[in-house]
Amino acid sequence: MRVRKSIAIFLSELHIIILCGVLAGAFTYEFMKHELPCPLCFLQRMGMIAMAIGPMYNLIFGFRSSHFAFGIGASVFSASVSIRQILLHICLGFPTYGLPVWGFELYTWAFIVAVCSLLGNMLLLFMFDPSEGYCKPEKLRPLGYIAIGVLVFLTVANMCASFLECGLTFCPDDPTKYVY
Amino acid sequence: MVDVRKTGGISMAAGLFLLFLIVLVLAFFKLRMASLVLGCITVGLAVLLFIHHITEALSIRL
Repeated sequence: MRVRKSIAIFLSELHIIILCGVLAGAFTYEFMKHELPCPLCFLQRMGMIAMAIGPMYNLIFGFRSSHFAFGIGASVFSASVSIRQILLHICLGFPTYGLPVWGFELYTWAFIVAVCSLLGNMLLLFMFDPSEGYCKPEKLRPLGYIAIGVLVFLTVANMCASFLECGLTFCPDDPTKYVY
Repeated sequence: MVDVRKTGGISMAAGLFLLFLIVLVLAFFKLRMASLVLGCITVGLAVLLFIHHITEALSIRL
């Protein structure tokens, strides 16, 4: 049981780090290629932060079904937003938003990430057994501290980026420059 | 041709990121229930924003 819980903790840490990597990739893309995020891109980023909060709860408070429910709900939300944007650009002859990465558009990658996160939650739910002391919180490991620290940093960075782009008012549907 | 980049905007994006930050901070200070409730409210607001975005883009009312 001890080994299984240790693996589950490691998978939760990995889950957060992968999602942070995707968010950091989106930031790199934004600043290197000067592609400002659209409103749907902001919603996908919010979905990814919410997807990472589920495993973070598991690391801090122990494994509970409500934490998995939060992660699954966030994955479904993020996948819905991504599908909406994929469908906007799916017809041949219609321009896509931004430049593709490894052959796929960023919103397609966002959909793949949301589905993978959903499958990750499913895997952890298979390993989850409330009768075996999974609910008892463990002390955070260094990797957990790093993962949560990076997640907080990326949330602050996203907040600043969205404020710089839209201010406290309406975000335009086709942003071309920062407001501030 | 339809300009697919004109898809409808959203409001208060920075505010929602701020709410997510508060959720993270509450969780870090071991306030589980407060963090979970605020997290659910924040995701709910994001869903409402998404629905508003769709209705605005399609010029429909629900």
